[in-house]
Amino acid sequence: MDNFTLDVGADGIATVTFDMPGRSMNMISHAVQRDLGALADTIRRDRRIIGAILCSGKPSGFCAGADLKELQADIGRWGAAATQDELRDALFEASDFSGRIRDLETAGKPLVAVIGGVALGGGLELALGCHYRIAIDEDGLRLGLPEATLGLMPGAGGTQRLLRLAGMSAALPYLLDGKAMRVDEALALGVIDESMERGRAFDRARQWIAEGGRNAAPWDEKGYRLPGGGPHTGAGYALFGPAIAARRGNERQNDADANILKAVYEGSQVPMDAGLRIESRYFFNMLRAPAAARRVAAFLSRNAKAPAA
Amino acid sequence: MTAMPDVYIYDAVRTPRGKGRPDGALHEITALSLAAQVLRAIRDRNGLDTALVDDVIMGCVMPVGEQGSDIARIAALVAGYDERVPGVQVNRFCASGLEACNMAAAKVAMGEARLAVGGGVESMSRVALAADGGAMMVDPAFAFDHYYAPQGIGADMVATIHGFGREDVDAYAVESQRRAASAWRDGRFARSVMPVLDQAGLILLDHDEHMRPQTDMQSLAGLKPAFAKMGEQGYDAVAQARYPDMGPINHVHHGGNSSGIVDGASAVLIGSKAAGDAAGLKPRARILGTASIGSDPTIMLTGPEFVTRKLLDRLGMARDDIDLFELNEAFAAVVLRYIQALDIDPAKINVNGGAIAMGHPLGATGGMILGTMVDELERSGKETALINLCVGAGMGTAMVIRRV
Repeated sequence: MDNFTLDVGADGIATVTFDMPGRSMNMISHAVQRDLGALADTIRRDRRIIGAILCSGKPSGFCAGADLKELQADIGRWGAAATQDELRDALFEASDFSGRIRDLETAGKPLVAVIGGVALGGGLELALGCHYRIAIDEDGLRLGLPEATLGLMPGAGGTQRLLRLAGMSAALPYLLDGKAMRVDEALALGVIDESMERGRAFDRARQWIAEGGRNAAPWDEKGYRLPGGGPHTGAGYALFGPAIAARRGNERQNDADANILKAVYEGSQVPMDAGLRIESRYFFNMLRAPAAARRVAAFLSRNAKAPAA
Repeated sequence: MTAMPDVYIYDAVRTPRGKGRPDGALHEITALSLAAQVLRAIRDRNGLDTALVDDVIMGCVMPVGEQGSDIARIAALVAGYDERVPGVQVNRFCASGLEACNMAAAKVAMGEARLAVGGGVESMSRVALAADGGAMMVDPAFAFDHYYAPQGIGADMVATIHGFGREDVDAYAVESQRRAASAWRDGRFARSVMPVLDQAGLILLDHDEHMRPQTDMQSLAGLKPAFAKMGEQGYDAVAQARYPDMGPINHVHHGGNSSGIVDGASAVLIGSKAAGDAAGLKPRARILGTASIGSDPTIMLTGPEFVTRKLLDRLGMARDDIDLFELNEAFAAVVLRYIQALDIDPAKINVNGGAIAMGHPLGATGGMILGTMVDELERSGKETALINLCVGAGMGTAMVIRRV
């Protein structure tokens, strides 16, 4: 486990620090995904651990999302898949990060994410897999699922968890436009549960776990209902139809629109695990479209040319 | 191609159409009762041994709630039909009632049925529009990928693209009201319309309740466009994305030039010559052929032109071989576009008014307007009629009949 350290305190609370060696910013790489699997396994099995706090060791923040260089190579490979076996293997790879987050979410122990600085895309998706999320209220806090701004879509539970936290109506603008979330918005959406200064955040996280916390997501609890209801309700028809029309009629056509809308619509009608599988399939389809490779390449070349921030 | 073999219409009945609102006359009558009443009427006035009926096919567009679970079979039983008579409910949106008759004709033509009843039922006051939900409006696999817009937007698109302004559509509506009022005065619906009875057997409604014969251009001019707001919600932009050359949509339709929301039911007795002879029935019209088509789902409502061309071509007939046209008045522009596209003499189409005046009880309408044409061919001594409807998601459904 190169990218995370795990320290179990005397109180049984594990502090998991995300700190990729040799990088100024945490990202979701293949190695990180492997580590997350191991981490979930440890948290589940280690009897000393009663709960865990997930945080970052980087001053830059929590995590900036996917390692797009790796993703670019992945896209090339996945795009070439043709037979049923190749497609199955490629989809399995494309679903890996989503699956590891789900492993953490269902590890059976309360997990708290303490989020400071940048928590975008896959970084925020990782935090959404924790059962409680505390934002460190400092300049530079950036929350959001900006995949759509690249013509891509969240593929590690972002569409499904934001949908289940906030309901279709509230979730759509953040998914479809990749809109950044202000702290107050993130609180209202349920993306974060509390916001406070750095000095108090860890004490609060420990307290939450010590007081019992919650070891399952609301959508895995019996009796969970989607906020605002699904698309096949009076409110759903009144809302979701025009929401689709607004994207279809939008002059700024986005290749991601259809995939995101379908993941939300279909995901809203099934349990979480099925919703995650559906999201993964649309994520996979989207990345296999020729436009995705072009967009990722364009983004990487823009960033390569940009002066270091 | 030749006409279908040996399929006849023996009779057609319908209920009057009640306003599809809680204060409408038929609101306190179940959809099941409406369906059962037309099935009883067509049996009783023909002295029909229902054991000879091999299927009862009823259109119903909102087959949920009390209209759910195959209302055709349940209505046949409630009407006292022989229990061996099956029933099936069909949904081709607004053409469901005609589709039911087309299917009945097909079953007769291929020998599955000796006699069959087609028709339909819809209590719009009791089971609301859109109560059946469905993927069309909200599943992005259709709504997004295929540019879904509601049919009111489609109607205004037809007007915009084909050049019908507010005065044109309003004038058509005034004429529909005038023709319907005149037809009622002349007793032209007397043979088809059977009164609806209440639970005690008393006559509850014996006339089309939705009509406004006093309608004029001035009264219509005060009505606000019904679909402008829907357009602003984003659907105008969808239509424009699909039809980039269309320009801004002229929202011309409103409650006064669109079909009325009403309750009602219809039944049409269809059979082979041999079965009719055996039952002692006299044929009233021969079914020459039937057809359905699909076309662009966004504009949705221009299918009648295409289904008419398809069917006439198949029958080796030309426009001028048809004496009377009946096109459901879903929206005024739908009929105006049809007249324009096929260059039809307005005096030959919807001669007794239509759904703008009398209402459109979705699943029942096809059977109703088919009956209207059977009556009108007999009254006028004309020979042939083409009945058709525009249909949701870009379809069209038609039948051509010849008076016997």
